[in-house]
Order: sequence, then structure tokens, then C-alpha cells
Amino acid sequence: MTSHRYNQCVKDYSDALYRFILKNLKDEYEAENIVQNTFEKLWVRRENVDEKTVKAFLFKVAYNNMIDIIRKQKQTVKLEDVPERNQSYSDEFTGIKEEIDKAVARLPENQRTVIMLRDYEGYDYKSIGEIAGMTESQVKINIFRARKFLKEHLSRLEVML
Amino acid sequence: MKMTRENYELLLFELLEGELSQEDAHQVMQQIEKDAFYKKEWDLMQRSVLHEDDHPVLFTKKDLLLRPTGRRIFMFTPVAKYAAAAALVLIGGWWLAKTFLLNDDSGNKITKTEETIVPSEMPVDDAVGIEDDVNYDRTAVAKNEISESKKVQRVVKVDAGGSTDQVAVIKVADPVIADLSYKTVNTLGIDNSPPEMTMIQPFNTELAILPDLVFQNDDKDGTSLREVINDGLAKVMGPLSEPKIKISRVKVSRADEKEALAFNVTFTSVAYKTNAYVQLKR
Repeated sequence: MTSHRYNQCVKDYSDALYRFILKNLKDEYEAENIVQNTFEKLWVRRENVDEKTVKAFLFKVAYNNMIDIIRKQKQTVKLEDVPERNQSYSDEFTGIKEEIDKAVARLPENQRTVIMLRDYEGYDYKSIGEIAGMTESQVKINIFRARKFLKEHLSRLEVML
Repeated sequence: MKMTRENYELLLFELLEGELSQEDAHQVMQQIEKDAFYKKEWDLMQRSVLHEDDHPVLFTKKDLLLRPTGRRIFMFTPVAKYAAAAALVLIGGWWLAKTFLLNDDSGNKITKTEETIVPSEMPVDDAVGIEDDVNYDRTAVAKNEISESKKVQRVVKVDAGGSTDQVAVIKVADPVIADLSYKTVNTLGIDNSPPEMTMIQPFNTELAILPDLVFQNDDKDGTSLREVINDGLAKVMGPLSEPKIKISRVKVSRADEKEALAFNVTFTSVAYKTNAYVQLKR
């Protein structure tokens, strides 16, 4: 990979990478660090990374980095650990988009990751599985559960409104 | 495909994900249209798809990640050529001095004269930063007892003329006999002003008196640099009918895009081989 191509990758993928990490960690500082570390790894391994799969490489490195941080900080929020009362909505309705974001934030990390890679990045199940270290079946199940949770959250919102 | 209250969520999901065949998708859509409950569930399922924010999240520090491009030509700019030439001229000059001035008539080695800086007195500690590998044994170096198997790597960082952004790094790798270190004053920032390179620790005398070293530049990109080096050496060795030392290999390389110049100088003979890896950074 030439430095020109590397720079193009920075321009093409750094926003998506940053958004992916930021929406998971909710920490701008950590998200910036992960993006920088990820591209540093790409630069170091630029001779060995296939240009056709460079985006997946970046997301995989960033994802693994993010998981390490989550584990260290013990920030993983499991859906079943959250009391039902807290799974609904805030007292003040702030709009569908905000409510969806809140609901996404409550998803277990593996479900949140796969649905974000699916919807924001448009990855197929296989690619998501390679990034997140899951089988295609596991990816499908996690996306299904995530959508079901979001759908039910929206349904409850409609009842309240 | 019959949709029931038991399987409708999975079917709506697969419809949304495009997993159903065209025929199945058509049948499911027909059932959705006929049933208010399914219609509402389908609407909610569609709204579970995440969309970009109105104000998209952007990574604002891209500039920190970008790397310089098109620097290959820089290796052969006049500054780079002068830098390489100056370095090698000084190396060659030092060797000549060592060979012809620091040996007595009988050929015995002079271990210390007023002109000789012995390793223990090296002013290396005056440098801005020094990084030695764990195997570096200063005592052994001082006593000139470096074994052939000893690996020595030394990086000497020297303040470049008071400008903190011009730091020269000289890395000496795997000397078999000689331990090479250079103090470098880097003036790369000034056009047409080559860096001054002053040797801190001399070649081992045994290496310096080896005859018939061969210069052979096998780096296709180093042709121009080789010419410059030859010119530089000729200035030093001009008075000699047959130079007794030549550079065996000069490899121009870029270890890092940010580096302005990097090259390896390898002194070899049948018995000895010493590498000097020189990096000049802006």
C-alpha cells in the first residue's frame, strides 16, 4: 500500500471508524485514541494488508481495541442486567432519533456492534462476523435480537405518546 | 409462506434483511397489507434500522494520521546528496587519519594519543538522547572487548543546532569489531548546507587497516547517491594512488516516510563487516 493509498483510507474511513467507536464507547477521547492506534497499525502493516479488505481490517482492529477497553473499564452493559424500568425511556421525550440512540446504547455490546456495522456500514453477515469474531448465524441472531429490542422500545414509546 | 403470531417477527426481520426469496417476500407483504397488527409491526421493524445523524459525526484529527507522499525523489535532492557525501567524506577522512596518522612505523596500534578519543571518554552523554539495547556493554566497548557475537545497537539523538525539530538519529547495528557512533549536527533545514558529521568513537584500528574493501552499490535507486559518495571520497582520497578503503554497499532506504534521509553504509571485507545505519530527520 502506498502512502497515497493509505492517506485515501484515512479520508475514506476515519469518520466511519470514529463514529463506530464513539457510539459504542461514548467517550471522544478513547474513540480518537482508538482511531489513531488503528491507522497506526495499518501504516505499520501496510505492506501486508490487502487493499480490497482494508476497511474490514480497520474495523476489526478498532473493534478489538474497543473490546479491550470495554473489558478493562468493565463498561459492558448486559441487557438482562438492566432493570426493566430503566429500559424504557427518559421522563422527557426528546424525539424518535434520540430515543433510538438511547435504546441502542442499552443494547448488549455484541448486539450493538453488529447492528451498527450492518446499518451504518452496510456490511453483510460474513464481513460482520470476520470483524466481530462471530459466525454468520451468530451475527444474524444478534441483529435479530437488536432489532426486536429496538422495535419493542419504539412500540412502548408509541403507547406512552 | 404462512405468517403467524409465532413466526411473524422472524419473517418480518428476514423480509427487512432481504433474506426471503422473491416469492416468499411477496406472500409476506400480502399478509402484512391485510392485517393491521402485522402492518404496525412491520412499520416498527422498519424503524429499527439505524440511520445517519443529521449532523454526522466526523473525525476532526485526520491531519494527524496523514503521511507525506511522494518523498522518494527527496532522497536525491541536493541536500540529501550533500548530507550523504558529507557523512561519508568525514568517515573516510577519519579512517585515513586513523590509518596513516595513528599508527607508528612498525604498524603497531596506538591505543591512545591526544587525537584519539577512547570509548570511555566518548562525549556521547552530551547528546540529547541515547538509546542502547539491553546487550550494550559499555565496559566491553571501553576495553575494546566486543565479541563478534555481541550485538550492539545504539541510537544517538543530538540537538541539531539548537533547533529541537531537527534531530539526527544515528543507529549503529551489529558491529563485529568496531563500534560506530557519530555526533551529528544536522543542518538539513538550511538549503545547500550539508550536515556536519563528527565521529565520536573511531573505527577499531583493525578494521581501519583492512585492505581491498570493495565498493559496490547494488541499490537501483542509489545510483545518484553513489556518485555523490564517490565524489566525496575522491576529495579525501585524491592524494592516494589507490584508496585502501571503499564503501562496500550503500543502500538508500526510507524506514519512515517522515524521515528525510536514511541510508545504510556497510564496510565489509572477507573477515569483517560493519553496518552504519544513518537516519537524518527533519
